[in-house]
Amino acid sequence: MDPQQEPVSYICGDCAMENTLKTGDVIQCRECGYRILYKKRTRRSIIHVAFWLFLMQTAHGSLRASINQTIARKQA
Amino acid sequence: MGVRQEEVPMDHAELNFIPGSIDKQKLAAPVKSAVDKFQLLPEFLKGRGLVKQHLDSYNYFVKTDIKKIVRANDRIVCKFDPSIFLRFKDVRIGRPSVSRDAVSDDLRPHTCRLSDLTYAAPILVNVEYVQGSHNQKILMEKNDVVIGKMPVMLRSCCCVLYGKDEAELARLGECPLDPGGYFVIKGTEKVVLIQEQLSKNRIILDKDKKGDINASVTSSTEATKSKTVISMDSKTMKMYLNLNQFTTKKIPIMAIMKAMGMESDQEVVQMIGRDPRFGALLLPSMEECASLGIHTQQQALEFLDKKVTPSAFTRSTSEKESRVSYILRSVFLANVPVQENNFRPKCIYVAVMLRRMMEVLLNKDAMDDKDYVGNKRLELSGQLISLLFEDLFKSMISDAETEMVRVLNKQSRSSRFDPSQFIVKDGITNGLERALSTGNWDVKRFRMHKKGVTQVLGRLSFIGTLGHMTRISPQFEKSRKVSGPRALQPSQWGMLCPCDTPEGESCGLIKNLALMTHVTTDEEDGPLISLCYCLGVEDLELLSGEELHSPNSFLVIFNGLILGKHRRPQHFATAMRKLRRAGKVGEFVSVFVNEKQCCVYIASDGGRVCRPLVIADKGVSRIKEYHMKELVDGVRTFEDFLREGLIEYLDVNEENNALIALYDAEATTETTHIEIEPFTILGVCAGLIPFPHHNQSPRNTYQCAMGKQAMGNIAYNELCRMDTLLYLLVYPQRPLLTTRTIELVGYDKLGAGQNATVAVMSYTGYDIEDAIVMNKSSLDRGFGRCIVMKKYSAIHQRHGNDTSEFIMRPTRDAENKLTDNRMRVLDEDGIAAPGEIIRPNDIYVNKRPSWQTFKGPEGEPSVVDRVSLFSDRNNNMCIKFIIRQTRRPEVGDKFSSRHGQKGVCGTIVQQEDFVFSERGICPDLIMNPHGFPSRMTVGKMIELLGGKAGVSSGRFHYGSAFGEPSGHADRVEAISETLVKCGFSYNGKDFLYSGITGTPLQSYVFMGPIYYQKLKHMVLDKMHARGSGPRVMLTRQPTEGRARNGGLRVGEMERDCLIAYGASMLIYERLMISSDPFEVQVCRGCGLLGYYNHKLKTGICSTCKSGDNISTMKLPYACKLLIQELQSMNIVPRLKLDEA
Repeated sequence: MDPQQEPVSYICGDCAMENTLKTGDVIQCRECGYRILYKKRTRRSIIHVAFWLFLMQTAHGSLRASINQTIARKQA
Repeated sequence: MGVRQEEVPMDHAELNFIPGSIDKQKLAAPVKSAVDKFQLLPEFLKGRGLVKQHLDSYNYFVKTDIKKIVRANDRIVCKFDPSIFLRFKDVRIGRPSVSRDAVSDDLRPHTCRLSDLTYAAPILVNVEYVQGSHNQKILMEKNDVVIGKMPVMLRSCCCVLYGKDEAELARLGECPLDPGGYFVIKGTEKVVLIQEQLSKNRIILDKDKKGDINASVTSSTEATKSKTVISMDSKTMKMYLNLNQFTTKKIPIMAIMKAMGMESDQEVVQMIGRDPRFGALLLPSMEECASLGIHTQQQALEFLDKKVTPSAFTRSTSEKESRVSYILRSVFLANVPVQENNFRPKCIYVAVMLRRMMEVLLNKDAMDDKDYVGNKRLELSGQLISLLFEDLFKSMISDAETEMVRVLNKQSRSSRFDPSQFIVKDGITNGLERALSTGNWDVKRFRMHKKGVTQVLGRLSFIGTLGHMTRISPQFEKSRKVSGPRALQPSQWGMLCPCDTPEGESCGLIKNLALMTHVTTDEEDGPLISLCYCLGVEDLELLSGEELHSPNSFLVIFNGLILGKHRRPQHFATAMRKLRRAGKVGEFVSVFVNEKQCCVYIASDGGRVCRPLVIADKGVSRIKEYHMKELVDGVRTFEDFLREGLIEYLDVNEENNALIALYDAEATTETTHIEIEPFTILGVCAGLIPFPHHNQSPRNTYQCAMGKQAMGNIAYNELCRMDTLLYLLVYPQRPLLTTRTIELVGYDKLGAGQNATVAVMSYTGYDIEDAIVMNKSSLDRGFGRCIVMKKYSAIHQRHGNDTSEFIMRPTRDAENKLTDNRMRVLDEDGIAAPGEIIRPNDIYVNKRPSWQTFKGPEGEPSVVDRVSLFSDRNNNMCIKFIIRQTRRPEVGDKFSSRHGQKGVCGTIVQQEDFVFSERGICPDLIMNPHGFPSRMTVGKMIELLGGKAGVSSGRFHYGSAFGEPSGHADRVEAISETLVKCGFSYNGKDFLYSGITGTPLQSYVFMGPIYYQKLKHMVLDKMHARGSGPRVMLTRQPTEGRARNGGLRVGEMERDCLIAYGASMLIYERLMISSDPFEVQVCRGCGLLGYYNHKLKTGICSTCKSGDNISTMKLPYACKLLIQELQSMNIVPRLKLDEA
């Protein structure tokens, strides 16, 4: 939980409001006071291993290039 | 729906009218008509729910019992100054809430599950108390003082879910099909199991080990609990009392009678009965009493005084009353009250006990059966919690009293004396919570130490959950090698499920309630007793001993207490029953005329099992067609049936006075009751089986156990729950062949299986020993695919001295690349993000100083499904991770049909190689026909037929137990007709082609859909192999168990085989080289172990102080350890070396 980084937001289990938390904060929604928060889904693209193989085998050149780009972006 | 058995209509009867040969009786007989009473069942269950017994019991405790307890102990009085007191005026349970930072929030059960809280409500009391001391005393009042928190049963009257409809429940995050009846303690769901016990306050006659006849009464009143046994020596025929409070085991019973003021032997004989045989049996006891020189009450009391255990009493020594009369008054047969020193009721009670013992001696049939369900009581959560609460409440009062004394003793007090501040609430809260979460019921006041009263509610499958709520835990321990309590009792009919019991050590001891069973709660007895007197019961006080057992009069016994006698017992019983049917008396009051014992038993106590039955007058059901129509139209409820006296509840004892017909048509003029539906004798788990009445009985029992392990849907809110382990089926289906029970309990909405097309044939040889051959394309389409969700949690601990663990964001290098690849699933907050694929050894919380890594199975990828954050009760941050894995069936996964036919997947075959029919139907799995002959599961074959007919005609077929006559199960003839109509063979066999050769198979194959369950046992969780790996520190041998990556043991039996075969080198390799080889220095001189000196490079014997006779050899380390351990115990093992 580094202050420089953009803080991770959490979703309230009751009203679905986005909350940010700092170390030592009480875990509670600011909007409705509900005390269970959920993490948001990852924003990194997830490609299933099987789907990967499928793409590798069937995709033609241009698609493969775009995939390679995504890989590059992902690794960056 | 139903094939109704219509009786001959009237005009038809007229056709047969031949003058002269009129059967007048037949004409005068009332017209019978069969009514389909099935609709009563959904109505019954709608009003009742599946776990009404738990809810009723808890509601009774919360509404009535808790008030009784508080009223009985309503004062905290100062010992020095009785004018200083605190009085509890009223008690009630508030709304479920939790207080955090001095703010009280309302609670919802689902919130408690998610954030590890206890679903509890404050216990509020109204108090009045004296404030100040000495001369200025003011009476103060305070309302709604919290004395503790009471865990709330879900769906009970205190729960927020009470009376909510489906939409409201969904809004609260609750599944509408969930029955409730359990508690949420620290986030885990806990069930208080139903406890089976022998009836309290009843005379039970049985034989002890020596063969002596015993009459025992376990008395239980609010004040005391005691067990009184009167035994008859089988040789001397003398009768003795056996009571804990006396030092010698045998107190002559006549001495007791005399001590209670029954000095005249003649009166005793009269009270027992004038039959000369009774007198003869009583003679030895009387002679013994006379030989002891006991003739008067005084002599008897003095005699008994010497026998009293000295330490048993401290309380009444100061009082005038002697210890003996205290024992006789309130320990001996404590359930019989003694008013104003009138011991006569107790004398009569003893006389009745003696008479029954003599009857047993003369006629063995009169013996009571301890396993008879009518002699049992079921103790439910309400009663158990009430015991606990009473104990805790009393402790709180005594604590407050001592504290009060302590404060008053202080010389100078700063503030005004205020008794209300001495009420501490932690005791009750913690005591209740601890008992419910551990299941240990330790109530010192009642000498009760029970373990395992509560269990974690099994959430493996929906049916498993329901089955858990109806389970009855036994009174006997499992180790006893007697068959009696394990056997199926005829009196269990309709009350306890005959099928649902576990296999193995607890077989027959753990039982389950049947579908319609109700367990009663206590009912107020005062009005009932006065009603009995009004109905002509002659008071015991007014009867002489002679009249007691006069012929043609019956004793009236109310809850084990003799009220008096009645001269027209049948008339009295009918009157009571009429009042009950009219609703003037509680519906669960039972009236039982025992002709043999000449007694009328009236019971209104709690814990009796009972069930509803239709009342019949002279064999004609009171429920008519129009009643059912009104029910279907919704203008009539089950309660209306009860109120109008069409249906009544009978308990096991009263069933003995009834003649119950299974069907309307079978009723004769003597019939008093008619069953509602025969399939209700089965419980919830057995109700899932189609055609169970066509199966061999143990198969149904096996299915009852397996249905609880089947994967499927748990509840509607399953994806919002945070269970430690959750198995879900990806595409659950409702069974093609259903039963009425399935619809009633909601299994069609939360199924646990799939309809697989099964071909019963042999194929590939991978189907021997119950293995199944599966179609690969079916698996691709999603057959048997399941989701496994596992919870991992992390607590962000805060230590005392202002230090705490901290969660770090993933460390990156200058190029913003992760330094550790194991942190790839982490977000910037150091916690794994939902949606990420997580692999073994990945870090899911980057917590310092110790991070937590994922230890899942290799192979199929796991995904972080959900991550939730909340603060626990100590205000530490808690993180819960749900990690999900989707699995497709593989070789070795376990499957089962609903007929106790389990099997593992033997091989998976390409659809191209599978058999197929002319229509292009290809089975999902192939089952070996050898599974049928020895198992005799005909029900499974009918299920296949019915399923096939159902699939082809587009209609769900039914297979309820015993359902053929009432139309709740389809007949094979009807099914076959449908099959023929749809172009199949009547016998369900199909013409198949081989997938490999393309040629037709030589025989027709029995093929059709059967509902298959995937069981939770999967190879992925079990498979295990190891080359080398971790070892145990102490013995240096490989560890044990899959969880520790342990080795596979060559055990004693395997070793025996190897020895027998002569494979010595293999034994040597397995037991030493691959296990724990160790090099030791052995002294040939003394035979003890030496050591290796690294400087001198020789072995030295420390005993002989020389290195001359040292040999180096290899030994299992465990052997060396054993030698040394023996040495430490002064045993010297010496090794003798020899050339080999």
